[in-house]
Amino acid sequence: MTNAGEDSFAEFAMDSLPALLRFGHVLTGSPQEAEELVQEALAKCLRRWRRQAADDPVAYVRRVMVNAHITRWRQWGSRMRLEGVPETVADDAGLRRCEDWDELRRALRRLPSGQRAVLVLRYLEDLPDASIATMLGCSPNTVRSQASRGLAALRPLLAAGTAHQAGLGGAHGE
Amino acid sequence: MVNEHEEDRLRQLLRDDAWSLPAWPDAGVRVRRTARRQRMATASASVAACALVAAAVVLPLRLAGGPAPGDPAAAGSRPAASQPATPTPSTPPQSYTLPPVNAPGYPADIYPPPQLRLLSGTLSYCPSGSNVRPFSQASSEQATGVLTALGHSLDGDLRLTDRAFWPALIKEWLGGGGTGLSLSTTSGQMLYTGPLVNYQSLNGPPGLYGLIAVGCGSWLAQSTWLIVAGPDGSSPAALNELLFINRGGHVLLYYSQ
Repeated sequence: MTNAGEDSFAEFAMDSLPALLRFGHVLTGSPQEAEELVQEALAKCLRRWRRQAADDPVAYVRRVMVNAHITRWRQWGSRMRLEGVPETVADDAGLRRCEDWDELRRALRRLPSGQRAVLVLRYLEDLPDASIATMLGCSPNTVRSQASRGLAALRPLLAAGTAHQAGLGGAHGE
Repeated sequence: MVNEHEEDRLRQLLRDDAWSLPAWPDAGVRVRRTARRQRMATASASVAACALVAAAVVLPLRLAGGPAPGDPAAAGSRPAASQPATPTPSTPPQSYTLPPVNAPGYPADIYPPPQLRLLSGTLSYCPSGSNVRPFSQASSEQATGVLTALGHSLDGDLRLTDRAFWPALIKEWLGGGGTGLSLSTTSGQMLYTGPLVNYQSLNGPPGLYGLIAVGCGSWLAQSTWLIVAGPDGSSPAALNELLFINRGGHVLLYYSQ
C-alpha cells in the first residue's frame, strides 16, 4: 500500500469514526461491543483498501458491522433475551429522557439481531427498504416484516414515550 | 399497523446524543493491529482446512483395517484389502494402509505420533516435539538430499517425512496420479535454504514463522529448517516452501506449501 493510500485510509477512518461508533453502539447496545465491531470492520476495510479503494467505504464498513453483529448475536444473543422487562417511573424530564434512552437500549438488545439491524438502518440511517434488503441479503418484503415486528416489540416503550412527550405522562411503568 | 408517532419517537431516541462514543486517539494503530491479526487468522484457517481435508483422507484409511503395531506386513505401503493385490502401473492405487506407530522401519523415536491440535475450530496435525534437535551443517545438507529423494515411491516418501505430513503426502499420492511430491515440490531452483527464523519472504509478508509458531508452538518454529524452491524470478505464490525438522539426526519434511 502506498503512503497516499495509507493517508487516505487514515483520513477516512478519522472522519467516519464518530458516526461508525455511534452506529455500532445503537446496533449492539454496548459501548464495548461497538468498539470491537468498528475495529474489526475498519480492519477489513483496510485490507480491501489495500487491494482497491471501495466505492462507498462507509457503506461497506456498515455492512460488515451489521453482518458481523448478526453472526455474533446468533452465537451469543440468546442470553440477552433472558433479561427482565425494565420497569421505570419518572417525572423529571431530563431523567426521563435518560431512562427512555436506556430503556430503548435494553429493549433493542432483546430484539433478534435482524429486526434490530433493520430498525437501525431504517430509522437511524434513513436507508430505503431496498438498500437495507441488499445490505442484509434478503428481500424488501422481509425488511418490511422485520421492521413491523421490531416496532411491535418496541410499541409499549414508544407509546409510553409518545405519551410523555404529549404531556399525558404517567402511564408508562405504572 | 405502523404509527407515524411511534416511528418519529424511535428516530428521536436512536439519534439521542447518549449513543455517541469518544473517538480513539490511536485509531490507526488499532486498525492496523486488528488487520494483521485478521490476516494471521485467515492464514491459520487455510492451513487447518487443508489439514482437515488431509485428515479426512487418512483417518478412513486407518479405520479401514490398518495392521496392529509390530505386524511385519505393516511396513511400507500396500493395497488395502478391498483393492487389487497389485495395482497396474497406469492406474495408481486408490487406498493405502499407513505404518502404525513403531512398525518395523518406523521406530517411534524417529516417527512418533503427531500432535492433534485444535486450530480455529478445526483439527490439524503438528509434529511431535520428542527427540527434536537443532540443525547442523550435516543435517542441513540432509534436508537438501531429502528434496531430491522425494517422489520415487510412497514408502520412500513416508521415511523422509514426519507423520504430521503423512495425510498431505497420501493426498498427493492418491490425487496426483501416483506421482507423489516429485512434480509439485522439487521443481525449480533452491532460492533459500536456512533456518525458518531468518527467512524473509522475497516479496510477500513474512507470515510463515508466525503461522507455525501460533499453530504448533514457537519451539517448532525455532527448530525448523526451510527450503524455498521455485523457478527463478517467479512470484511468491509460485514458490514452494518446505519445512524440515531434525529428529534424532534424521531430517524429516513436515510441511510444504
